[in-house]
Amino acid sequence: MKLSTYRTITGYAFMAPWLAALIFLIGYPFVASMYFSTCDYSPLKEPLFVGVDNYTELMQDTVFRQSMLVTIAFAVVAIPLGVLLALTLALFLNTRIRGVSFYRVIYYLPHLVPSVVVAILWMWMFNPQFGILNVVLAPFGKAAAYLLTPFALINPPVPGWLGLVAVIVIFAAWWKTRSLSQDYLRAGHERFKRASTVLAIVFVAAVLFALTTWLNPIDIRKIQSPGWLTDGNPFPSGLSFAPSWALWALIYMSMWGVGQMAIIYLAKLQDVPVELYEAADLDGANWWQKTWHITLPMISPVILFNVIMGIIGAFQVFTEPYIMTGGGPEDRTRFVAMFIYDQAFEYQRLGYASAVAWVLFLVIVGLTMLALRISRERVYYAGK
Amino acid sequence: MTSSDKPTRWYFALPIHGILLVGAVFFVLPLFWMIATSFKPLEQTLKVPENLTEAVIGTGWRTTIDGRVYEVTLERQIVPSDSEPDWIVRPLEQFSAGEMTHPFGPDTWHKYPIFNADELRRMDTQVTPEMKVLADKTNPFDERRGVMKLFSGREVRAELVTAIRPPADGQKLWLVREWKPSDTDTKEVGSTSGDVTRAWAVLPEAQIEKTIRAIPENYPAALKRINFVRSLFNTLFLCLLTVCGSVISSIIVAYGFAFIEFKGREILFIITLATMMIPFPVIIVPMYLLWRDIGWIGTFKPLWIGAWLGNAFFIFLLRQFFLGLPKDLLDAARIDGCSELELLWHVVIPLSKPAIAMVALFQFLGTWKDFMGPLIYLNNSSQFTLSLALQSFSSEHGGTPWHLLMAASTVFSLPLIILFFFTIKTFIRSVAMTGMKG
Amino acid sequence: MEKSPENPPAQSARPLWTAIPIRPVHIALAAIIAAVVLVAAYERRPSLKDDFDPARDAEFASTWDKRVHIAYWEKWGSFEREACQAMVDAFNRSQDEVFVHYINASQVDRKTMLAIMGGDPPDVAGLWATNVPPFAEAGGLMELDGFMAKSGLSKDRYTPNYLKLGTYNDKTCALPTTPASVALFYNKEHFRAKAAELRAAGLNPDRPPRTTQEIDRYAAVLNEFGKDGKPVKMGFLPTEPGWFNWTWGFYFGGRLFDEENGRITADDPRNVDALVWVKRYAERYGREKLLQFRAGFGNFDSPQNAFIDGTVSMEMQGVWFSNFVRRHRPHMEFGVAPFPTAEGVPGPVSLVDADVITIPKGCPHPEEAWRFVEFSQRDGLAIICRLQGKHMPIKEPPPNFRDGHPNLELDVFEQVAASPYAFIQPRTAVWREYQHDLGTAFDHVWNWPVPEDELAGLSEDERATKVDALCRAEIERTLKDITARIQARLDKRRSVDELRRENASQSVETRP
Repeated sequence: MKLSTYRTITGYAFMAPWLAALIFLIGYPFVASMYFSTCDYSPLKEPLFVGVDNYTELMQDTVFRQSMLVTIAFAVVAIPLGVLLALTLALFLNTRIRGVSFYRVIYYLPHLVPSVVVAILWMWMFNPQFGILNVVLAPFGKAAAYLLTPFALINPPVPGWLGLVAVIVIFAAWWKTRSLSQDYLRAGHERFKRASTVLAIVFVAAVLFALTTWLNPIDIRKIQSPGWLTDGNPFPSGLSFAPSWALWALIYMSMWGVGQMAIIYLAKLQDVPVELYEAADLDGANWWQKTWHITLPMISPVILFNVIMGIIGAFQVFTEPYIMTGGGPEDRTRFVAMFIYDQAFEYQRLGYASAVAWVLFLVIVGLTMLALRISRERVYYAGK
Repeated sequence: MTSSDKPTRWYFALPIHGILLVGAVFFVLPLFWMIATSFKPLEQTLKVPENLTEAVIGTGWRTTIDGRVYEVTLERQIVPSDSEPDWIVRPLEQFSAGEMTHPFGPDTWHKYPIFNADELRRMDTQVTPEMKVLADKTNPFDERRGVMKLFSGREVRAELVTAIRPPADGQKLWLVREWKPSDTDTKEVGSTSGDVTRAWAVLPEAQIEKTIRAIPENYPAALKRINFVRSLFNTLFLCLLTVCGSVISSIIVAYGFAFIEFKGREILFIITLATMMIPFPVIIVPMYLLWRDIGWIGTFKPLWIGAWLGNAFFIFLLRQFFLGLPKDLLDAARIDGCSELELLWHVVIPLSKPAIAMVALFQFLGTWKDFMGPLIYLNNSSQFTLSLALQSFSSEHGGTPWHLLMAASTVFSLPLIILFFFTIKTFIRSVAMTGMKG
Repeated sequence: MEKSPENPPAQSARPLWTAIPIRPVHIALAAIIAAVVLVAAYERRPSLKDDFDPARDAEFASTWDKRVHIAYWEKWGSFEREACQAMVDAFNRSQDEVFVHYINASQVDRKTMLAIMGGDPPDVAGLWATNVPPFAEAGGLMELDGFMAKSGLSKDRYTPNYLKLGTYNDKTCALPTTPASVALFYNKEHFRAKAAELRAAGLNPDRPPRTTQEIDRYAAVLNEFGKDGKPVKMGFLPTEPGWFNWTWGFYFGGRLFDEENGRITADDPRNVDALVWVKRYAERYGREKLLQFRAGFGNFDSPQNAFIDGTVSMEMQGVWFSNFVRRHRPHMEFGVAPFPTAEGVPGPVSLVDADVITIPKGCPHPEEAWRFVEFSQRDGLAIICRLQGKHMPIKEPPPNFRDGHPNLELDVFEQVAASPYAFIQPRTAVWREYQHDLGTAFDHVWNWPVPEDELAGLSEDERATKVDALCRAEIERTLKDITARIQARLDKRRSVDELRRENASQSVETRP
């Protein structure tokens, strides 16, 4: 027989178990849920085809909107923070200091604790009356309160989201002109360099403006002794769609799990060819330049991988809020995965739950595509 | 922060150590708290510790009663006033201890399972003339008539031993009672109050010595509550099956992706990656219905059959790793007439031990920690895994025994930590070699 | 012969199956697969009959094998569980044909629903009354009317509300096991300690408050604050214990659901009044201070329970609570009275709820299950109600039921349960969502920010009026929102059911 036939047969023979999984355990449920999403389906009754009813109801469901808001707020804050933290940690763990393997183990420990235990443990630590966390964080809280008081006292009568918009716009403009100014510098156009400096100053001003619109005196009080899981009010209180204190508690808890990402970064870091660093040393680069121009680009595929995993993960968060807050004060920690679970198993609306799940899937795919698109110029694949 | 060959210089090393140390403290704090709490008595887990010693280890009290040294608990503060003094009396008639604490007599409290066996035993203990009891507002003692009126209504004759008056130096008076380590096996605080078989006394604060108290008995108590051996066995059974399944199936499928050029390989791989993007809630319901139609709900099968068919993440991992292996070795073996499976077994697997170890470890961790799967598919409590058993600690109406829960959690997490320590070397190296090229 | 990867051994002429050489590896793989299949096939679902514990079941050993074994899933823990076990033991001892296995299941409603879906339900399931409409509407429970008629179990023997809880669409799907009603628990020790201040405020320390306005006034006297204004003791907190947050409207004469017309009435103005009254408590002492105060409350079943350790002087609680108080603080002097209603609202008003016993549809032994359920309704009721320290859901309890009953306050609970103004939870299939939304609304109202300077320096009455003025609009809006949303859901459900009925009448139904 021909080689290609031999290969095809052998290939599919090797694929056999996975194909079975794809068809039965993933494909069939996937397609079935698409069908259910167009039905009204409660357990013990047959599915009844209702067309796009579930989807139109979805568009008007305020609780769904709330849960999307919660999930997106969590993702927007936790993912960048997590990536930053994991990266910093990996850079630290990559140094040749004595006992570094001890640290590596310590920072991975949180992943060895089952999520049920983690949820219960943290729920207890967050207790404002007898939880240990407020005690330990008290000095940091006081310091933060001191630093932020001037911002809280100035209260411009502007909505908080204006501050966010200002920061984003100015930051984007600054970033654009920064890369532009590199090119123009080489061409000798000094004024572009000045323009980017001006934009940088305006950016800092926008940040300060944002802080003043976002912070109120009530935040200063709360920072020193937060209510955590019991407090459903947004922090900072000037920004109405900011994460609530309960959500911040969950974000804080998720920071505890950066060990896994850090280890992956660490592994990739050790792949970076030493010659690059040596060449940079010859050129007289300091450690920041080396990190920014060599290390980060070399591990950028992993960063992208982690961002995508983070997006997928954020939309599937379930166990911790389920055990710790049950949806939180006023649905402020009701993640989309919890919303789906509730609709399916509490209210027995399996069709509606499937529709929500599908919308969720499309959102995830969309965000992932977006991330891939944005990353195309930024991610460097060595040897590809 | 570069991986050069030279060790980092000390003026960099010191601040790095500092920062890592501070971070490590924050990371370890919850675990440390979990372990520390597992050795404390329940009532001390419900308040914030006032100093470092209290945070690390529980407080105990020790004192001398009738010449013997006892570990005691502070049952309650005795605040006698001149108008309402308290007395220590010796009863001249026999009665049940429970008559001092409950408004109805032994007939009643035996009819109702409101009290568990321990409570009943305490209440049934006969108070005899050799014992002394504390007469207070609830069981007042009439000095003139020499009669004590019990809370249950009965009156018994008694003789006065001491009258307790407010101490001259204004010290606090505490009713202390002997404490035994087995007391920790309780759902509520203060359940040893009223146990007349134990030594007790009313003492001023100065005579009570504060010590530390660690209660390793929390562990057997916790494990007794959950059906530990059975749950452990179930969990290990599942772990064994899923680890074997994942390893075998992922190796086979990844080999196919890496080394066999068959038609449609690229598309299949992209589909594989895409499946990682499907959120679990999308398939949770139809999957349940699928298992129901096959008739496997209530068995372990839905929890481990999937592992034998492959796992997208592990397939991806192993494929990346296999792609990094030297191609010539495989070509040489092919020339020698090896079939694909033999190639896999004799050449690829020995070279891939670290990556395989990593897959095994991740799968073990995943199955050990899994809680949603057993929750949905298992119905019979004899099948429950450790994660479900842990859940059963927090009872309906509150009253979580934190100390026992933390002990159980430590036991739950410890095997994973130990396993991790043993495999750490292969782990780090293998992650490096999977070459995550995105 | 030299073989290269380009030319596999020349086998093009031979049939395919001989082209693959059998090597040890293949055999090993096949062996592994065979082993797995064996393991999978070997596993049997555990059967009830095998669950014989010599220590516990010795007395039944002789008849073990000839009995029919049925499973009874129940939710209780602690002493309530032992009470139920006593009822099960009594049944097992009373006859030889059936043996009931009492199986403890947390989240028993979810488990039962999943089990019914999975085709493997227990024979008897102990659910909450709130589960009856959704389960019954989905067809998950067997109808008991036929069984009751056959066994001569009359519907008249029940206090009407308790039977109503187990009925859906005029069919009895569940029967009550242990009833519940609620009342005001008040700490007599606190009342006595503050007798002078109470009298000075024109209140009688020897009796509990009778209207909601009186609660406000008693609470104002009973509150205690530490330095920096933090609450140390609260006279009354509507958020304790937090299980009845949806019921406040009823005490003001409001209703949540109009059964005849099938309309959601959350926006009834009296419900608004109730929430305004609740909101006053939030604003009286500062929401944040209260937040911290409440976070320190101990667990329900412990001596640190807010009422038991004296942190809160008055609380709305159920009939079970007397037992918990007596266990943790046997000497505590507390009183129980019908919960006050607003002025002008007839009473006594109380929430009437129950734990129910059901026979899921598709269970393996319905006849035997009914035998147990029937027992639970005849002799069993007295056993379990007495041992759990509750009253009975029937009109005429047996004469010796009260003898030495541990709950000394039974009178009050029986009185309020039988009151014509007692209410049950709305009997509608959308109740779970409705209840959830009401809970969220309560939290929302409680947490809705009222600027502190608006209330600074005002007297109690002025504060009350100010809170009313500031919050009423928001409360109305919230309740109207809920009404609209839940009504839409209810209407949708009805129309879908209509559609389903039309389809069913046109074609033959088979279950998937």
